[in-house]
Amino acid sequence: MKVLALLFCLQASEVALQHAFVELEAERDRYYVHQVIRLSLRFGVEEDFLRTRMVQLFRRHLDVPVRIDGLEKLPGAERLADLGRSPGDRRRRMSFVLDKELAWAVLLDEKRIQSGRSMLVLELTLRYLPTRAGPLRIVGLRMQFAHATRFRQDFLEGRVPLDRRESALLAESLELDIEPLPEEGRPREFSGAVGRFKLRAEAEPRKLELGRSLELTLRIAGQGELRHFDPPRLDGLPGFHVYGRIEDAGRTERRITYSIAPLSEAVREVPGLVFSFFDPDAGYRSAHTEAIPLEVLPGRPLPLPVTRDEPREEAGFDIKGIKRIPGAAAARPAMSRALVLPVLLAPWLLACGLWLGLRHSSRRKDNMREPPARDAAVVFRARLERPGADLAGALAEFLAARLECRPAAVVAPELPARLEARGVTAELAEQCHRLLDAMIAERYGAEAAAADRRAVRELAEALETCFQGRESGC
Amino acid sequence: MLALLFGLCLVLGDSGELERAERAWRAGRYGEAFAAYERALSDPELPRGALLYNLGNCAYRRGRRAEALLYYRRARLHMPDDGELLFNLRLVLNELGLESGEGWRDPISPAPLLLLVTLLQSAGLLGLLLPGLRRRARRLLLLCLPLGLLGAARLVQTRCLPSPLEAVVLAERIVLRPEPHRDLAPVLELEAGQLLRVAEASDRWLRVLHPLGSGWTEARTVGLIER
Repeated sequence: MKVLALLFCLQASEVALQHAFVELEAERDRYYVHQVIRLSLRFGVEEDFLRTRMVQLFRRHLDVPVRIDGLEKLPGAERLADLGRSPGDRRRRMSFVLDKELAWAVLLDEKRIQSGRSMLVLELTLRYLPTRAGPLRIVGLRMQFAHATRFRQDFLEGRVPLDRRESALLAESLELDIEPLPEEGRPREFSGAVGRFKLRAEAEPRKLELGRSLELTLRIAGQGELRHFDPPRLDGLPGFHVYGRIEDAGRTERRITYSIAPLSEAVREVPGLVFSFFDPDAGYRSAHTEAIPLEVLPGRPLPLPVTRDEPREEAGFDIKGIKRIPGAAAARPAMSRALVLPVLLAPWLLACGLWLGLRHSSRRKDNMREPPARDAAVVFRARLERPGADLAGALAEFLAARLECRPAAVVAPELPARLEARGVTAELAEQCHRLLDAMIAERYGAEAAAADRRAVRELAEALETCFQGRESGC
Repeated sequence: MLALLFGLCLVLGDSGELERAERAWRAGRYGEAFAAYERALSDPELPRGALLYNLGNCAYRRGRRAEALLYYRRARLHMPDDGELLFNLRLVLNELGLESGEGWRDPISPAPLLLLVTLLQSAGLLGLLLPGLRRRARRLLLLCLPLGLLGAARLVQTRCLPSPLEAVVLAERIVLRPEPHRDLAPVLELEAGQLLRVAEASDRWLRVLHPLGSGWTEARTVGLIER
């Protein structure tokens, strides 16, 4: 890499010379027309100076408050868009102003020692495309910044300089030679591309009916400007009608999609394509693609016009043909909006049905517990009618069904409280508890309980009345 | 009998018109083909989208790019996913130097998208309602529900909601004025092919909206994108 530009100060103050630098580098001193020129703008300021004495030039805060002018327009060269940060590049970027626009330069790891001072070094790569042959001069590159030695602290504005001064550095002009592309050896199909490129072709579909079209996609990638050349023309592509092309140029690849249609069933392949370019190191070269096999099935030939009223503006651009009306080739009708909403709502309606069904099923399961609470009274009456009925057992089972517990669990001191919780009056609950205790104790030889079938039935009916009253919300 | 003969004449007449148009197209007589397709537009039985598409092709061949664009946009109201239509639309937009982003299809066509959205919503709702599912399975199923709802929203937006009335600039260059008067200074100049949204209409003027501004223009300088 040759360093052609030297730091040369015309109006720079001693301060500028001691505390900053700016330089411009090119990879070589000779280029061809349309060959991308990469210029490295390198500049820096002393670290301590930046931190303690430099002053912001604008209201917007800049990481490095310098302004560099002189690279916006170069005579005979077009500035190309920045390619942006490449994936994986994690280097820190610092803001400054370049040609009145905010720009970001990479902070390099290296430090430069100038006049015994340690300088931060920043670099920005700019790309240009020379459009004509001859010398390309870059003059008047200037770096400007402001600084002070005394400051005061302001509540609103922070550190305010008291003796603000501006300094500038001017760089020496840089001259590059731009040569025209050689005529000798230039292929007829030369595209105008300068650089090193690779070519790849894809076709989809590879099996189609006669009368249909396919997309042939050409991908051009490599080192060189991807936008400033003509894509390969497919004029007279044997066996095909070319409708047109759509282009998409990215950062590293230019993609051209041609729409073509085979003219007969005898077509067996998409021919290989050629892309010619100029390699600055090796001269004119061509990249080729392989032929792509194709299967053309029987179908209806294309309705192509025989002659035209007006000449086509550019060979290779054409629209798709007309549609036969009515016919098998007519377009599919658009999806009716009357279909969309019902289909979208169908899952929700089914979900509602499912939810109701699950809820119903759950309730049925609850009701099938033995014996159901609502049928407890019926079961109790039926048991009482049997001769020799166990009154205590029947009452306990009735209470268990109603309290939703096991029969053994009702014989407990908490029975009155549980009954009261289910809507039974305190008096009735206590009465029930005493009677049940007495009847259970009678089984184990205690004094006979003063209860007969009728008394037990009346007690149960009174309890059922309270239970039902509670369930109905009265 | 007379009614049958009359009906036959109508049908044959229509198909004769279409055949005439196709013959004229093949022979390169695009004006004649255009007129025949335009007459065929009055028949409600014929597929309107295809007719408008063919009219666009005829206009293109006659060198009237903006008019071709208008017909392609009108055809798109009837057949929004037709590959050939979208290709021609993008080509004309490219030639006019306009943004061609709208000529691209959605990655999934409507019918499969509707099926996918329905399946996603169903899976999500099953995850919500079915008892006894494992926690992980329930979470996976529930995840399908918001995806399904997003897809449903997109389908409703593109298929069910009415689109605003739009227009295409047909003249080589038009100006928009602050009020519907020719004497007023223009506020914006637009070139052929630009897409406008119509906010108001009178008998001779339209108030239109464009990303760069809005104003009034004479109705004869633009073509309305109508079905």
